[in-house]
Amino acid sequence: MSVRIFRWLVVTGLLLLVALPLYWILATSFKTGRQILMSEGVYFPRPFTLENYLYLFEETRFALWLRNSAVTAIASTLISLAIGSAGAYALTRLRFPGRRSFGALVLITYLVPPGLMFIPLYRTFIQIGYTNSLGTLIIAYPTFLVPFVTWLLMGFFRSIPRELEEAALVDGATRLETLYRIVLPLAAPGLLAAGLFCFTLSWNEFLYALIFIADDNLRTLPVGLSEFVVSDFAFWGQLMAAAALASLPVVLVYIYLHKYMVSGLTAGAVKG
Amino acid sequence: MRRAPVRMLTIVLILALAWALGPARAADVKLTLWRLKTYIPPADKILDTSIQDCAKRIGAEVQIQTYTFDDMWTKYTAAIESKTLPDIAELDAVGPARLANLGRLSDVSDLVGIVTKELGELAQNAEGAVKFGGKFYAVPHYAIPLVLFYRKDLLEKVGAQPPETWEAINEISVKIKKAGLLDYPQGFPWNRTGDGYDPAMSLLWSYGAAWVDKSGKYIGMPKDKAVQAVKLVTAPYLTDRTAAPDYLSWSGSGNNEAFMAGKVAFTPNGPSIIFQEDSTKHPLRKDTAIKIMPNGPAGRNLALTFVMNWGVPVDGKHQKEARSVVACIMSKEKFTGYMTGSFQQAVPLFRNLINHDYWNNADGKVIVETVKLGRPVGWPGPTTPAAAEVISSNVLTDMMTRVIVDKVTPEKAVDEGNQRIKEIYDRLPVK
Amino acid sequence: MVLTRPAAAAPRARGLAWHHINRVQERLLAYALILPVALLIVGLIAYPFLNAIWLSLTEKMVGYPARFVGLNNYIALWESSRFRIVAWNSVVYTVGSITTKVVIGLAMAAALQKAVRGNQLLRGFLLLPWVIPTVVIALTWRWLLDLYRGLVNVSLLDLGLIKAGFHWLGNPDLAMLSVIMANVWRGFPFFGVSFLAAMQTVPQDLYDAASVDGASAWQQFWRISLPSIKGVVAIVTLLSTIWTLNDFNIVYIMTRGGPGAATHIFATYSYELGIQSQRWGMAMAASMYSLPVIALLIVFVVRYLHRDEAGS
Repeated sequence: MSVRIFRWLVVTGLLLLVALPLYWILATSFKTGRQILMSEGVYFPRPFTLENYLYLFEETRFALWLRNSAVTAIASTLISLAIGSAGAYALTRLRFPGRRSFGALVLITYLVPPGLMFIPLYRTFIQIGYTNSLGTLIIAYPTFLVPFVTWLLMGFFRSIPRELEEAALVDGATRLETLYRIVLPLAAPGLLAAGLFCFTLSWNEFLYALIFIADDNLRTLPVGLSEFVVSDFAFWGQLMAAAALASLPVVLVYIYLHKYMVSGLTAGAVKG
Repeated sequence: MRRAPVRMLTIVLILALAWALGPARAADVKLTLWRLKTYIPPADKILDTSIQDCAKRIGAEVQIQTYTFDDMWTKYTAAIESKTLPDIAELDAVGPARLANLGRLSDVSDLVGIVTKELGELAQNAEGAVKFGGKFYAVPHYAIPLVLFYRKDLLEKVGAQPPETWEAINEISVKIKKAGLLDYPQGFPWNRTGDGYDPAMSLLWSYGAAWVDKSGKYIGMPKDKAVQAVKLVTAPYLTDRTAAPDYLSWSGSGNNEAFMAGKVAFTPNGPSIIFQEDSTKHPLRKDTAIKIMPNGPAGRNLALTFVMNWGVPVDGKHQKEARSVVACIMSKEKFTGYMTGSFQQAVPLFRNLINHDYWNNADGKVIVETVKLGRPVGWPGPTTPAAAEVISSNVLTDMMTRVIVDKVTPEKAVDEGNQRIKEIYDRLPVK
Repeated sequence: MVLTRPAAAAPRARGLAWHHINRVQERLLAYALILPVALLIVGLIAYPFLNAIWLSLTEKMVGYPARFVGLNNYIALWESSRFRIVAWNSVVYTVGSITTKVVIGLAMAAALQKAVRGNQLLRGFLLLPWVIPTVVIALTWRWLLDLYRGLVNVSLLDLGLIKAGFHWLGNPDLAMLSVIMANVWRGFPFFGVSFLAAMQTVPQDLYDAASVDGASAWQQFWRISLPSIKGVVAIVTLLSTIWTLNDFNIVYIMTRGGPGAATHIFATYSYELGIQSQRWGMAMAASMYSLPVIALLIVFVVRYLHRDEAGS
């Protein structure tokens, strides 16, 4: 009996914990500046207004930030998936000297945090003369995405029976063909999970985007959002509207594909 | 399958032809310009129009990038290191000192000469930020004064006169709190923004606690005077409890909001609060008043921190065009247009316009007076890179928060502050 | 999983030569496939990292060339009271966030363990905080905790539970609590879902047998579930600890490290040194201080896991 109470308490507690801030974002986004300033209708927008959302598209470059974030996230994801799956395949299926150490190296680099690397990485980009471009981010993001993707996919690849490939090999297929025709399709859920992770992490990335990019036209969403904080007054309404819209794409993707993400976490965490 | 490439080719050829035969592009010169995103959007729009117009006149194109007070140095730091400073850079009060010392700004003494012809002589106190070694390295654009905002109605309710001294502000706040009108009426945010370090300088200087001598060399803040000043800051937080600790975490607009939400009776700010209240027909507009920042035993030595200056970095490949654009923006016609459309935010630093009719009203007089009494960062010396770093490293407000948050004694905090300042001056010696 | 060889897979005899070429081919393919990863690691991780170590041994002010100063930066930080506060805060922030996330994660896994209808939907919903941009989360929590108009204070006041609003972002201890809360809100789904997934691989027979023996649900949790997912708990905790120790966004956006330096942690302090004080050498030295802790953690967890593997 107490188990049911426990279950119920935990579930309700967590639901409330997650739902309340989300509600606060939405509610604020539909309030007028005056309402927010004077604390009228705190719990529910009164009057209800769409002016914040309209403001985003008419007066700010929100649409542009969306585009920049999308381009960066998609490109980083595709690159990281390609590099990561190639590496994961080599590390789990092929034998070569230095395999063990290289595998360990990949995992160790995973542990070097961006919060530490932003200055030296920026200096590296300065040295090669490539800064202030979305391409800079697209090259920089894989530094923290690829190790993760590799780790995740290694777990996935390991769970695919070797026999299938060996059968194909014996039948005359090349290694690359088995990778392409057998392993990748079977690892599709893993790729999907890894892809979602990459997309989310890229979409949300803030520090590199803040430092590496100076051009207003290349601003990504997180940096644009943080701009609201200092450059306008009575900004919470617009800011929350921007927050809601900025979260929407990733949230939508997750609503449809979250079970893949979960199974991805499973395979990676349990078997990796 | 075979038609597709042929079709593609045709389209490409047509496009290429169209591009080649299209109207000759007038602008061959592309300039980049970085400017501050102010709290007054209509003023920004006027400035942008002027800039674009000026560029067109000389057949150039300008790409305008903006920054806020908060991320200004993030952008400039990145640009300094990657050698990608813009052609025209609007810099703050310490930018010219820093960049000139690095040799990254062009000598613009001639430009200042041109502007002087149209707008009158440059105010003396504006020179410290831009003139080094007898040469001008930036053209002063305008100054945003930091004035004392207060609630007329609340002061009347407790029978107080508008405050002349720092002590008076604290006393009146106590009265307001005792009368149950507001919990935390004293809204001075000693935070890591301009709203923090500007009043910090004004306060310390009005008590005679400057940290350099007239040549700009380090002498250290006189301990007793600095402690006196610090105690005035910490009393509202620690003993009177007329200031909420949250104010220390305010961002640049936190105090604006608090004032307009009716939660504080005093706060230092630029004129943007008036603009914001006017444009939203705010109920508190009639009760909002401004006064010049307070006096101290050593006089009224206000900080002229929010000064914007036009620099022409040496990185730029179109020096001549950049200079003409700056000269044009600062022409009488263009600048007067900007000034009168700025809702009293842009105070001119050249004589003729300071006496303009635009400033001939109650608020305008306070604003202009503030700028006239302003002293450059690094007073009583000139603005040096070391002084710049004292401000950007928030040494002064950190000193205050050490007492308020970490409960360190004012004496110890002042010692720490002096130590930090000395370390900066050792690293960035004043020539 | 029972491994059987497909019937027709009798390897044909091809002779040693083929075998040798195959091995060489395999190796070449392997190198080709790991080349991109290797380039990435060498060029964009190893090289900058070495650069970082070099920088930390110099006085590098923005715009000026770097000047070698040996360990001066490290010593100066060690002696700086502000930095000691930063180091302590980083520990508090990390330990506080991680332990809370582990507890909530375990509770979530335990509660959702039984396959019930709507579980998937619930899990998906609870995953949202991890998905939403961290910047959004930081800004939202800052707004939630606003002294005068934030939902938390307003509702507590309206419910009559408090007489005056809490100084969530003004009081140094509450400020640390606030940033921890935001971090936990963002991070607990990762823990919960991982633990849940791991728990679901535990064979049901173990639980059945325990029930037959009269074990309560709690006992089953402590004696069966927890030990079985030890490995996952260790890994997830390690990863999250490393991320949290160098977390930047949440603290930067919520408090900038304030009030005073009450919530300043390694990453935000490093940023302040690098961008505001314009001292890159110093900034790197500050970040480097977090590395020994990370290294120790890694060693600790790896040994724990190996022992675990050897044991089972």
